[in-house]
Amino acid sequence: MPCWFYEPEDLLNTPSMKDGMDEGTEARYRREGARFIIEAGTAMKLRYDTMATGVVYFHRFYMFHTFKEFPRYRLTQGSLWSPCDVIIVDWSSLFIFGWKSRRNTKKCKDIIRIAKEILPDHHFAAFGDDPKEEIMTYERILLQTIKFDLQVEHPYSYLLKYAKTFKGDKEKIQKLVQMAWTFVNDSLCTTLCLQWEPHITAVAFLYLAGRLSKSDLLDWSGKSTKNKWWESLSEDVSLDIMEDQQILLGCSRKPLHQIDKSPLTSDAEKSKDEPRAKHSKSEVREAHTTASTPPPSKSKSVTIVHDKKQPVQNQCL
Amino acid sequence: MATYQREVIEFPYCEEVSKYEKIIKIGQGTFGEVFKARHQKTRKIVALKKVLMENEKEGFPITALREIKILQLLRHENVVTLLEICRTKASAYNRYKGSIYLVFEFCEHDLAGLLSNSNVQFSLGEIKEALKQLLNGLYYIHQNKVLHRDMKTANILLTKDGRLKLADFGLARAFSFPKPGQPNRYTNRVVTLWYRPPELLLGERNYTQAIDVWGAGCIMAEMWTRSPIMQGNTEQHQLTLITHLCGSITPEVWQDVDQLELYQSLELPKGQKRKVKDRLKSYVKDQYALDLIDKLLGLDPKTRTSTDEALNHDFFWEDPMPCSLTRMLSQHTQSMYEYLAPRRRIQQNHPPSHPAPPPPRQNAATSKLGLNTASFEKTY
Repeated sequence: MPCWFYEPEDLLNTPSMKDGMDEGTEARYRREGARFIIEAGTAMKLRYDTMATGVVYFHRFYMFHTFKEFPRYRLTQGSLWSPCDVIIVDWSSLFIFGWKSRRNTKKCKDIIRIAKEILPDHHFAAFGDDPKEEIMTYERILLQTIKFDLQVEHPYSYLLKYAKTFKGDKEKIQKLVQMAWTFVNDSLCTTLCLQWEPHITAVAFLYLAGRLSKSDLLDWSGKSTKNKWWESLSEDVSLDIMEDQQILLGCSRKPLHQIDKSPLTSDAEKSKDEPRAKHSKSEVREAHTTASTPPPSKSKSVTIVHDKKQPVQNQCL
Repeated sequence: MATYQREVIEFPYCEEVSKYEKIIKIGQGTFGEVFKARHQKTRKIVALKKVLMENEKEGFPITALREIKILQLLRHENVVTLLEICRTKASAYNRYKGSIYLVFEFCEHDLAGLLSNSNVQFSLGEIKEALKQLLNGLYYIHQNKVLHRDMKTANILLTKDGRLKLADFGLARAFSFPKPGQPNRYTNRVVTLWYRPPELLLGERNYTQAIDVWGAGCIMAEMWTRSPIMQGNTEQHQLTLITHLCGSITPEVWQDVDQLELYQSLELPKGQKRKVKDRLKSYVKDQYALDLIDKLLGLDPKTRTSTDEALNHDFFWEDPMPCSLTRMLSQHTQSMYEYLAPRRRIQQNHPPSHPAPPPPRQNAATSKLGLNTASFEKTY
């Protein structure tokens, strides 16, 4: 099986970036692609995990192909479309597949109808003269790219599983899980699913939700046996890892108009100001096993808390 | 389509099938042809299963996607191993859609091929070993919440070193235990007719792992009878055969059977006694074996024995104990597959509509092609 998880430096050296695309633009394409899949999926009344699967395939796909390569052929026809319009073709194929691999078997023509409904005409034109054929061709390309690896797990199921282990006020637990759930939804627009295994993401987002809501729920945590509640959920989670995820989520929560106005600078600046994980994953895990996890830096969490106070748009639920 | 610039698309995870050379066609799966092939460089022998795409209007066949997904999940010595997925070169000629092949570890024989060859003799210990491995494989897939849904001897493979493997997951699906008030609605158009359990024939859609256990029972008996024990040519006929063997289907022996969709509309012979042991005893001399077959072929799926219970049955723990199949199989250097078996045998011993299309299987076609009803009587 291929490894679908990447180091931060791999994500700064994607096929698109090797092809000359800057980090900000790629981040924007990824965000827009993920949103399209979620939007179209919502219109088709797909399950949340089906949409998430489509998004994960989409992110994986662009670890092997460039955003330039795939829509590029359209541009050569002297069309007026911009590259981001054209990648719709990819999104749709990714997503046809995301839904087919679960049991929501809908017809190809349904997806075309919905794409037509939710897309402006000039965007829909990207599907070409024979939209069905186009989608099926892309489906094939996608399948081969992702090695037919159809087993995709998401943090959602872990959230539910872990929530069952919490003791305390039911309503509070529900609120906490709901918040973490929203973070998972939001994280789909980022490359988080290419960086961390879903169970780690789930723990980190529960932790984050607990901090943000100043919830005392997470204090229970089998104090007698282990030091930290998350250690009892999953052995390979450390504070460092969770801080790393917060930063990523922080990035994605940046006001969207800012990012969209200046795609060339915003994300790049962000990474300068707040370097992402300092350790590679393996180092982090090593540090954890030797039980020397550094205490969380206060200032870091505070800035994120501010970020998080902005209304969280819930796109999936 | 403006696909002319797509000629070189790299697929680092999906290599070209041309690295294997095809040797011979060895079968026809649910959704494609199967070939024996050899890796050009390593000389490793594999089985290539081509995904048939010709009639697909909805893109890559969902049956193939299911099979791939399930095989990627399952890793067990008694389940066939999917090694990789390969492709042919995409070009303008095939509209950038080359063929897709599933590459499997190679197994020398299938059980249908072995049983149809009278030179192949299984000792009691060897039969025990084969069945033990079969039930182990079933236990494993059921633990992983997968239903095979096409148990039959042609889908049971054996390697030359005596390892038995469940194969052809083209009809398999993941299942969940039904929640109260929320019955599952699975299709009941599954399982080759001769191995189809009574609950499916009666229209049950909320079925369980027990459907595969019935198939295991049919296969177990076939280890001695050497041909399928109930060769019906319609659903109605199959139910009649089941009744003749397992007794009348009534709410007394099968609680709530009268709630099933087709219970009223199908004709169920009354007053038949259960005579599984009686009718099989001329073939099966071992009392434990007869008892286990009787339990595997329980009419009521709720009380039919489970794979776990079956593995604990005395049959496997009394002398002669299960013994390796290696010695027996090493005498047969020629591969034996149902597909390659002599033509005569195929006509005689195949469900009428074989090769069956993907589900729905063996329905309208069955009655049209109808076998001579006399043929099943010969079985006993």
